[in-house]
Parts: sequence; structure tokens; C-alpha cells
Amino acid sequence: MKKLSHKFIIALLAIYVLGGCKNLFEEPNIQRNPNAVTDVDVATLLSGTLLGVAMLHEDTDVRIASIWAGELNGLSRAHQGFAQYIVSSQAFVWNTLYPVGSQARLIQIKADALGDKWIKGVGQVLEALVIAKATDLYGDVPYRQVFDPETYPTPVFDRQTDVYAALQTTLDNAIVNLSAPSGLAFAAQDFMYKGDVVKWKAAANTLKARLYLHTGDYAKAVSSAVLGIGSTANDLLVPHGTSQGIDINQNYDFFRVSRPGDTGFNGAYLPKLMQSRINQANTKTDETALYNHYFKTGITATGSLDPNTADGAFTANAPHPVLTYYENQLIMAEAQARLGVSDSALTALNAVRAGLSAGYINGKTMPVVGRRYELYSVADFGPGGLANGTSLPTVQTALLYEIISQRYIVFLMQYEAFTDYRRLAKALPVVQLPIPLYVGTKKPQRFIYPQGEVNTNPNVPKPLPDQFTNVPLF
Amino acid sequence: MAKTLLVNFLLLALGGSRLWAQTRTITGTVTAYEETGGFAGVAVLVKGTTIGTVTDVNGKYSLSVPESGKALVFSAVGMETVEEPIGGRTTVDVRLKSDTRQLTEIVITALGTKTERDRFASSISTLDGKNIARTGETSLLTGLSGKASGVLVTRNGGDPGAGAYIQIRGQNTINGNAQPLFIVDGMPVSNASDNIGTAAGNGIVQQSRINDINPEDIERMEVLKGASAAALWGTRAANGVIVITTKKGRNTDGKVNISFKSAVSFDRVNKMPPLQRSYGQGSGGLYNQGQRNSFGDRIADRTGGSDTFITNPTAPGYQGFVTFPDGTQRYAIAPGTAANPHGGKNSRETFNHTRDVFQTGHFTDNNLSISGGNDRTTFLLSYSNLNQEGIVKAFSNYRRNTARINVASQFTDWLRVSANVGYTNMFSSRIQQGDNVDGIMLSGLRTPPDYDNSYYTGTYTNPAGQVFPNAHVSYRNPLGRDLSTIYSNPTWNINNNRNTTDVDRIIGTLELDITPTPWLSVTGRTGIDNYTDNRLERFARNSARYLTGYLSKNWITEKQFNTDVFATASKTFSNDFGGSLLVGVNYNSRSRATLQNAITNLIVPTAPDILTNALNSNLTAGNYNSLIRTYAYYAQADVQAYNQLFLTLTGRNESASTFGARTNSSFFFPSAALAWQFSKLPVLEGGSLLSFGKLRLTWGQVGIQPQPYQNFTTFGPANYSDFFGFTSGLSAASALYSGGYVRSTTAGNDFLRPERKTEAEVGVDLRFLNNRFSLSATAYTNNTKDVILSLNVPNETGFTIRNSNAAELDNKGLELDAGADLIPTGAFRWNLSANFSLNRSNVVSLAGASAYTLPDSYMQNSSLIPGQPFGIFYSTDFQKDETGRYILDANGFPQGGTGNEIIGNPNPNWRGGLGSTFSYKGLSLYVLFDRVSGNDFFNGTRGSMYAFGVHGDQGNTVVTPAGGLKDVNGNLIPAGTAFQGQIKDFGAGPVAINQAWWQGRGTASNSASYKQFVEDASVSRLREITLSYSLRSPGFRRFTHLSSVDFSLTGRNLVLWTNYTGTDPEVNISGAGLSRGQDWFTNPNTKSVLFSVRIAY
Repeated sequence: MKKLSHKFIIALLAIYVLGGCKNLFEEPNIQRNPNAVTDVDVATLLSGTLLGVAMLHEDTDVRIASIWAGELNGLSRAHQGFAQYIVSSQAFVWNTLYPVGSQARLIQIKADALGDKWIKGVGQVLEALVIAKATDLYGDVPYRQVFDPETYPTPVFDRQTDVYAALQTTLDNAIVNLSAPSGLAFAAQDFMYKGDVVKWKAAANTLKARLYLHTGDYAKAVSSAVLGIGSTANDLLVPHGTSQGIDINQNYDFFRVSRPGDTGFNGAYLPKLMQSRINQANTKTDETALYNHYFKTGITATGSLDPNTADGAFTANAPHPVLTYYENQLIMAEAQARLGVSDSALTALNAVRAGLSAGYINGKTMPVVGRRYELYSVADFGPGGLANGTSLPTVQTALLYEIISQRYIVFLMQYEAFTDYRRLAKALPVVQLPIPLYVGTKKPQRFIYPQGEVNTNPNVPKPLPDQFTNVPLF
Repeated sequence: MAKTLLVNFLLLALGGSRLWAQTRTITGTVTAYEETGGFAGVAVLVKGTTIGTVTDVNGKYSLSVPESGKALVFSAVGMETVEEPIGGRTTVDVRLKSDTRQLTEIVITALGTKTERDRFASSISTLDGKNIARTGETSLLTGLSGKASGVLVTRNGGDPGAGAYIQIRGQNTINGNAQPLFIVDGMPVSNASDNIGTAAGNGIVQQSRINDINPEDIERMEVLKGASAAALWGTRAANGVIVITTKKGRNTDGKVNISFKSAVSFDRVNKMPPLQRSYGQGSGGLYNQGQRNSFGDRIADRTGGSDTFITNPTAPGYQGFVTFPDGTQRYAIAPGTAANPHGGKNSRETFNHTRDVFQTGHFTDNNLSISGGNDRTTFLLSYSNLNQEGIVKAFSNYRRNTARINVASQFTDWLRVSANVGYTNMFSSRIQQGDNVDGIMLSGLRTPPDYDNSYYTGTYTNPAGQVFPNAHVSYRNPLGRDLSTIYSNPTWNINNNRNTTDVDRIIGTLELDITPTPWLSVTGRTGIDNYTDNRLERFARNSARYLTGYLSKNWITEKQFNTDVFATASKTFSNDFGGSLLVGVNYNSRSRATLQNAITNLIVPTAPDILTNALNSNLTAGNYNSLIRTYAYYAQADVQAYNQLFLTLTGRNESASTFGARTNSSFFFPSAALAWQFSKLPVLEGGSLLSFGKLRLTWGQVGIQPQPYQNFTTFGPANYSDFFGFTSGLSAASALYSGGYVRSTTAGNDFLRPERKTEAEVGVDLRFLNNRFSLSATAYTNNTKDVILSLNVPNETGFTIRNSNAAELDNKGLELDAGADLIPTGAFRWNLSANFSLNRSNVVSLAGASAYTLPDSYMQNSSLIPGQPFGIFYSTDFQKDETGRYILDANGFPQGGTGNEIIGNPNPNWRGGLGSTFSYKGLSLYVLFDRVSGNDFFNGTRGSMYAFGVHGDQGNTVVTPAGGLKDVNGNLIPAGTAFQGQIKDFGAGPVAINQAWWQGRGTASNSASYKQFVEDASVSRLREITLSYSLRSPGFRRFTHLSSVDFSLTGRNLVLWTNYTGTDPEVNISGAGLSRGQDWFTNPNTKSVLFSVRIAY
């Protein structure tokens, strides 16, 4: 029995020892996540957010928009479907769009905590860029109740006009903040403007001008554009490198690496438009250099008109435009033209032509050969004028036609081209490019609300508008 | 040992009546077919009496038999009972055969203890290790296929060493690990099957780590299907528990048993999608070299002979040339024109691209086992070597070496010590697959029939005379221009890209059993499972996906430590009541670490796999660590009454480090199981029809732990990828982007608690006509509440996902197992076994969301929708009116849908297996059929091939009938025109299905209708047919000094009956994930013929 009780004690002791489990969880790798931090400073958050904004300007949305604007054509697989306007709610997602917007909002919250105005102002510009993209492509979208999951787990969808008004307010606040006399330095983290708040302020004004142009507030568009980006040196561009999956231009990645040949320019309207400005009556203009900068034949197949990924606009390290001087001047030109101020419109248009004539486009320089953009005079747009090839009846309409052509050409691979495509059907006087549909008779008007929204937010408009339904503004 | 003791005990109980009219003495020796020497402990009874004895350690017996005794009955646990007439003999020798059905008379429970099946209430399927090893599968998991009711096994692909998905009674979870828990000799082990690195894009068929275990080492496997059986494993048991028991040594009285088994297998692809061979490369009926499509010219109309090359550097269309290793050269070929659709293409030769890179694979598998023991100590040593060359011609192999030592010693009458240790070294290469331009199926099946993929590399000379060696020549880059690959040539791919995995693993347990008094035992068991997995992925320069090359190395380490200590006390209160109580404690710790490094833009393209072969700016690195700890107290009470009623109650109180900081620190998981042997009722006992009857009722709760670190919202380096994978994305790791961070879009949740699955089952086990026929039926219903869901939230909240205990799931089902000894005795025997099961899953709620798409789903959108089965396809179909008819456009074609609807259900209606064993003396034939019925499968491969014009049903030439036909774009094809396509009527008269349709609404490349590619994937298969012969005659033994030689010939997966048009649907592109039934150029499944010989000394 003595032996037995020893064994008993040993057995019970073993159970007891293993029973002391409470402090088993007091391990660093349990008390916190060893794989991530739980907070970062506002400047580090700013550069991360900038990258998100960059991605939103080079993503699939932008390529679909380019295809639907007739600039690019879809030739294979999914993009061949996009070019036939075959999309559904699952072709679109907001899982980068709005979360990037929420990072921009978080920048503002963090800046407020520090009492900093400058970074807050940049955060507001970034927020406006994101929401502007959302409303341009989807129409009515959530804005008032966004980024506050505790209070608004399922935000309502605001009317597009309200979103535009709110965006102007956001940008006005941004400009006020960016005008503060001092603020936190963020040159090291700002990989677009190196912490230059003057440039950010100008970019905010250009964005305001763009939004006023969309809403037809041409006078306000002009006054904002006056304060907008004042030279090509101040373009808001995404820098790119040569490392795949890290920093290569996403269009290069798409056109050359990940989906070569799935899209191209065969059958697209843009090369036709540009061809019409080579060796034509318009002797002041020769688009050959820009044409060769944009396109190159035979990269993905014999004879195919491909994006120039070899030595042109879409190389791996080509910068990608977000907001540019050319856009600013073309907003000014169109707004002035619509206001009937032809000379100011022409000045702005000629400013762009001067830049092109110097070979500058989106941070790159095109070759001299076939590059001719002589300054226009008002007479060039009169009946029979060299820049009035389509024999439009008035200088205003001929000038508008040239301005929207120039916009169409400059906006390659920017979703603003698709906004123009829809907007110009309504903006008065109506002047449009004869962009043909790829198939059918119905013009694409919008993106479809993502299936993820349909699944989770009961406030998504019902019935779900299809891709041929107009957004309220355009 | 245990068997011997048991029989001894039984006979002692009968011993009182032994003195009775003895008139003669019979002696003899009992041996067994699979063992050498005498068989100890066999009960020998005079038929119709209680007179008997047991054999001694040499298998000898001596028994006094009365005059009336006519026959002797020899019986032993695990062996078939033999009845031998005495006649005039005084020496009666018999040889016993092991009884496979008897094997299942005991079951191994969740804690690794043995119990009698007939007293057990929960449903457990037991599989004999021999039957798994015999299947010809190199992996344990796929060896289970079709063998147990309620268990579905789907392999991830046909690659050697491919992992598999295993599902028991439907899916119970969404976020956590949906695979069952594996226990080896009492130790929970890892069955990780994860994709990391580039392979996360489903580029490589991943393995399942449980397959590191050598099937030959397995004595038996128990599949604990019900919650009550598994409840002692708490939050790891919700998907069922599979208990593996490895082979142990036996008491051989010091003799050493040596067994050597060698197997060789030949494997081939068992099914491929059909390809057209009538139309050449090009588009619109015109030949075009390098073009992506096969909508070109009609090959039969070409002139024949060799192609006309553009060799003159001054000629239009000259593009230089490629020089192949055999000296031949290829130049550009002029494209077709309306006048001459063939251009310079003259050859009528076509190629079967389903064979480009495939071969007859083979493997050899050698196993050596040495075992033995005496009455105190037993041991088993085994070593195995598996060497497989896969069905792909290069970089496709699986090499596994395993070693095992299992020893046990009964040191004293109260102390037993045992150790079971297994070591595995595994190396495997697999080739890219799936939705990936370097995938062999994608690039191979899209190749035009008139393009020869066997020329895959060479030297390109461009028109300027520049020479580029190491060209990648593919159908879209036929001259091998540098950095212009587009789609890889599968032959180039298998010779240049490689992905390897190298695993070292040790699994071991130490166990101490203390029996201080006969009624009390204490078991202490500690085990480890540690492995490292060293992975390499390499894309050579000029590969399609990484033009400048890519190399990544990933190191994965997992360590698991587990300890159980439990004490069992038993007591018999009276003849009618008895019981036992078990109390124990469990501690478990799992840690995991991964380290990833990758480079692009290789400086020296031909360098070995070194991470220094790139600029620093092209290097990325990452790591991940996790630690999960769990401790639990548990108890089990067993009560039996009247030898009829058996009640088991268990409870486990568990704490885990993954529970949220603001929720309870521990959770309790109870179970109850009642078995009633109603055949022991006096009214039924002794009946001739019903030999045994048992009613089972069980109820239990099990759970699933949250994944680690879900309670925190974190910040991480900003990385942005394209949602659809159309680009490779941007990363803040670039010096250009200043290393920015952003907040994770997954919201943490401090309130996470374990999921809780409650299951009830009712079952009946019946045996008839002296156990010749058996039937077991189980009906179950389970409900999982608090299912942790990566709940999608409206993205405008700033988050995409919030982890929460959000969903509720239900499963109901029925499982039937039946067996019949149609011809039970004599030289010729015939046994049938069958299983049948069905499961109906239902998503009860999703915390307000109307649908949740599983993260590993393809475009058919395997989703959860309240009120619908798990993983139902929720995607697009053509636009329909209220009556469900397609709304046709003006040309008579349906139009692309813009919203989602339910388009298919991947869950089978039922599945079943039918096995038959015929044996004649040493010869036996086993046949196993199984069927999975009523499951939908998304054949994305077909949907994608359509866009390229290569699918088998696209090669027809149609002549337009009178009146002409319109195509989808409204173009009228005049009467009498021949075109590549079909005529179809969607309801508004015949229309032309041609290139315009297949590249528009008729492909899975866009969202017009994914439903058109959902097919019924019901399949019946001859899963296994084995012919075996055993040589063990006394003459043979004397002559060879061997105890036996067994030969067997197995055919695996030889015949498939299915209407599914793609590959064998027993694959899944996303591997062992939750989304089932999806194919997108998945590497195909295989069939095999296997020959093995086992020599036992």
C-alpha cells in the first residue's frame, strides 16, 4: 500500500503541475501580434496612402474606362469582354478605392491630434481624389457617412451633385490648411511633391477646376484653374521603377508582362484621331512623335498596334499622371471656350501646345521627329481655318472640337477621358468626337456597383443600374 | 498480449466444468497465415460443450475430448473462427486467417484508448492500414477515397505528392482550418496545405502535410465523424478527428520478423479536355503566325508540304529567324489574306497538345520492416523509400524517405513505457498550373493545333543581325524574340521553371502508463511534431510571367508540442452495473514561422538559385510568426448497465490564446453518447436472424478556435495589388515610395470566441444470420453557431473585412454502411461491402449580409447565402425575363447578365462506394467502385478555351443553310458559306455560333454568363481493382525459409464514367480550400497500374 500511495502522489502531482496553466499565455507572441505594428506616425501613413492613390490611377478601372472611351481596345480574354461592354456587378470592386480614402481620412485625424495643418491638407486632397473617382465612375456614392464604421456600418448613398458639392468643400478646407504658415515637414515621405505645400495647393485647385468643369460651373472652373498647376514641372506624377511587383508602371506591367496583347490599339478610335492630325490640312500640327510615343507596332504579335512599352509612354519606369499642367490648361481652355472667351481659351490651349512642342508629356520627353505644335490663332478656327477640319459653323465650336480632341489625346490611360466621353454628350454647346461603339448601339455610361456592396450594404440603389444607365451628372 | 489475456480470462471463467467424461486426448499446433511460429492464446473448444483450453506460447494445445465430441472450434480475437472435424485423428493442426471484419470489433477513441465497438455509440469508421497501402496512392489522404461513408476526399491535382481536401459530414467552418484534426499515436499533427509566395496565386498544386506519413506504417485509422466521439479535442474537433495508429511490434518470443515490400507503379493522365484539330492559328478564317487564336484557316484545305518562310531580309514581313538546337531554322510566315487564307502556311500537320508535356510517370516504393518482441518488450523498425517521377516530363517528382521506430516495454507489472517516433524526409518538384500564363495546361491547351510545341528554345537573330541566345519559342512568339514570350511554351516551361519543396519532419510520442492498482491507470503522453519546409520557386528569364526572371525561397517551420495526462478509474458495482471515470489535462502549443525572400531581374540568368543574383532594389523579404497555446481539463465517465446500456459522458473545459481579450477565457464542450444493445433483450437473444442489434444516440459540442491575432487592427507596409490579378501591383518597399505604411483593411475584434458546433446523431448497428450480413446506419444533424467569418463589410466604412462570430451553419445527413459475406466459408469466398452517404448543408445566417463570397473562389463565386447550401455558385447568367427565359436580342442571342444569381451547387446529392472481395485460397480479387452524384462543377477551362478556338467542339465546319444566319454581332452569314462553328437556336430561330460569339458572350473570360460553364460532375469510377496472390504453403516455406511471399497487381482509377467534359473532376484549382468544384486549367488527375511484392521472413 505504501508503494501505491507514492504512485498516487506522483500521478496527482503531474496533474497539478500541468494544472498551473494560467501564465502560459504571458508570452510576447501571444500578448501582441508579432507580425505587425498597431500604429504609425502620420508622415509614414501619408506615403502609404499616396501609393494607394497612385494605384487607383493605374488600375483595372482606368483600363476599362479607357476602353469604354474608345482610346484602348480589348482584344483577348476579360478585356475583350470589356470592349463588348460585357460587365456585371462582379467586374468591379471598391476594396482599394474606399479604404484608400479612409487612410486619407485617418491622416487628417492623426494630423489634427498633432495640430498639424499641412499634412491634414494633403490628406484632404487625397480624400477628394479618391471620392472624385468614385462619383465620376459610379454616380451616387457614399460620402457623408463614410469611414465611421461604429456610427455608420452601412453608409447611405449620396446624390452625385451632393458629393460634388461636398468635394468642393473638402478641397476648400484643404487649401486653407495648406495655406497655414507652418506645418510638419514631410518631404522625405511625400514621393510626389517632396513636401511642397505650394504645389499641393495648386493641385487642389486643379482638382477643383476639374470638378467644376464636370458640373458645368465654367466660371468657377476658370477661377480655380488660374490657381491650379502652373507648369509641367509641377505635374502630380507617380514615379516608377523597374522592379516587377514593386514599382513598375502598372500599365507597362499590364501591357507587357501580365496581359500582353489582351488590349491594344487596333480598332480603337485614338490612333485614328491622331492619324487624322498627321500630314493633314492642319499644317500646324504633326502628331507623329506623340503617336510613336504612345504606340508601337508588332510588340505582341505581327502587325499589332501595341502600347509603346519599348521606348515610349508605357515603359516600366514611365511616370503616371494624376493631375497635370496640361489638364489644368485644357480645363481652362474648355471652360473659357464655353463661356465664349475664345482668346483666353486659345491662350490656354496654346500653352499645352507649347509644352508638347517642347516634347514634354507626363514626365517624359518624346522625340523631335514628327513633333509639330505651332501656336494656333483664332483665325485657324474660322470656317475653312486649318484647325477647323470638320467645318464647324462657329469659332467656338471649332475651338471646342480642337480642345476636346487635345483632351482626348492627352488623357490616354486616365479615367478623365471616359468622363469626357459621357460629359460632352450633355455639355453645351454639344461638341463631341465621333467615337464609334465597339459593338451594339448602347453607349456605356457608368460602372456597376460592386457585388460586394450589394451583398453587404442594403443602401445600394435598387434596382441595380446597369452599365448603360446614365449617372445623374452626365 | 491483450487478446491472449482476454481469451485466457474467458476460459478461466468457464474452467469449472472441465472435469467431465474424458476419453481421449487430442493435441495439435495452431499457426496463423501471416505469422511464423505457433499462435499463442487461441481458444480451443469442443463444439457444443464448454470443454476447452488455450494454446501455449508455441501454439500447442492438448485437450481431453469426450466420446461425443465431433469437432473442435478454434477462435482468437482478430482471426476467423475455424471449425475442424476431429474424425479419427489424435492430432489436429489448424492455420488461422486474420479476419478483417473482426478488426473493427474494437475502436480507438479520441484519446487513443481502445474500446469495444459494440459498446460504442458514436459513429466511427475504421480503415485497415493494409487497405490504404494497397490502393496504389502514394499519399495517405487519397488512399481514403471511397472507403468510408460520410468522408469525401478530393485531390488537389494530379501532380506527384499533391495534397488533398478531406471533408467529413459537410463544411462546418469558413475562416478557420476546415480540415479534420489528425492524431497520430495520440499526438495531434499538422496537415498544413498552404500556399505562400508566388504559389498563392494557385500556381502550384500544394501538398498536404499528413501525407508525410508512410501509408505502410499505418496499422489502422479511425475516422471520428460525430461530435460526441471527437468532443475531447474541443476547439480543434469541429471538422472531425482522424486517429491514426501506427504499426507496433508483437510478441514473437524473440523471433525477428522481417518484411520487405516493393512496389512499382505506372501512372498516366486519366482524362483530358477535348481539343479541335481542324482549324489553324489565326483569326477570322485567316492563318496568322503568332496570333493568339485558333480561328484561322481550315487546315485540311492547305496545300501540304513545308511552310513558306520569309527568308529574304529585304522582303516585307521579314522578322529575323530562330535557330533551333537541331540546326533547323524558323522564319516568319506570311499571314493569310482573303484571297489566300493560308498565307505561307502549307503544312497540314497537327499536334496533340494534351500530350506535349505528359508522359507515363512511375514510382517505386520500397518498405522494409523489422519487428518482434517478447512478453515484456516489443519493437518495430521500418524504413521506406518512395521515388516517383510524375506524369509531367520534367520537374515533376516526389521522393519520400521515412523511418520509424516504435518500442514498448512493460518494465514492471505497474509501469509500461512506449515511444513511437517517425522521421520523414520529402523532396518534391511540381510544375506551374492553373490561371497562370506559365501553367502547363493553360499554355498547352491554348496552343493552336498546327503549332509544334516541341521546338521550345533556340537562338534568335533579329532583322538587325543581333543574336539572342536562350530564346523562349512559343506559339505567340514563334521566332523567340527576347522578352516577348506572352504565353509560355509548356515544353520550355517544364525545362526551365521549377518549384521544389523539401521537408524534414519528426513526429514522436513518449507514453508512460502506470497501473498502481487493477482499477486505476494513469497515462502520461507527450509528443512533438516539428517540420521545416524549404520551398523554392524559380521562373527563368524569358518566362511568360517574369520576363526578367524570378527566384523566391520560402522557409516554413511548424512546431507542435502536446501533452496529455489522464487517469482512469474503473469499478464494477454489481453484475449489472459498472463504470469508469477518466480525468485529464491537455496542454498544446503550436508555433509557426515563415521567412520569404524573392528577387526579380536576375543579373546572371543561368546562375544557381542564389538570392544575391539581383540588385538590392529587386529583392523583397518577409516573415511571419505565430504562437497558439491551448490548455484544457477534461473528464469522461462511462457507465454500463445490464451489459446492454452503455453511456459515455465527456466534458472539456478549454482556454486558448486565440480567444479575444474581451471574451470569456475558457469554454466548455460537453458530449453524451448512449448505446443500447437491444439484441440482448431476452426476447431477441439467441434469435437466428438477428445476431446483433444496437441503437445509438449521441449529442456533443465541439468548436473551432479563431485564427491567431484576429483581435488586433494593425498597420503594415503599403502593398497594392490588382484585385483581378491583371497586374503585379505596387509595394512601398521600393525606395521610390519611401516605405509607407497603411492601416489594415481588416478590422480586429476583441470579442472573438470559438465557434461552437452541436451535433446529435441517432444510429443503429445490425448484424444478421450469425454476423454474415451487417448494416450500420447513422443520421445526424449538426449546427455551428458563432462561425467566425471574415465578414465583408461595406468598403466605404474604410474596412473590407471584420472578423466576427457572424454566421450559423447547419448540416444534416445520413450514412449507411453494409457488409455481406455472400460466400462465407470454404475455399472460395465472396464478401461485399458498401457505403452510402448524403449530406445537406444550409447556411442559416450571415449576420445581416445577404451573401458572402468565399475568398478562394473563382468567378463562379462559391458563396454563402442564407437559406442555401454551403458554397453555392452565385454568379452571372444571361438576362432572363420573369418566367426565367432568356431575353434575346434582335439577332436572336441571349445577352450578358449584370447581376448575380444562383447558378450551381457543388455539393453532391449523395456518394457511395461498393467493394467486392473474391478469394480462392491464396488468390484474391478486390474491386472498389464509387460514385459521387449530383454535384456541379465550374468548367472554367472550357469557358476559357472557347475564347481561343481550341476546344473540341469548335472544330466543326458548318455550311450556312438557306436564308443565311446571323452571328452575335448581327452580321449575316450568307447561305452556302462555310464557317468554323455551330448552329444553335436560343429560341428565336437558328443563329451562328462562331468566333464572334466565343470571344464575346460565349466565353468564361467575361461575365456574360458563367452559368453556361457549370456542368454536372457526377462521376462513377472503378477506383481500385486489386488481384493478389499469397504464397505460404508449408512446402514453399520449407524450401525458401521465408514465411510468405505476396504478390499484388492494382489498377487505380482505371475507368471513369462521367458526362463532365473536362478533366477528371476529382480535382480543384484552389486546392484544399473551401471553394469546391472549380477548374481553371488545373493539372489533370491520373490513373495507375501498380505491382507489388511483399516478402516476409
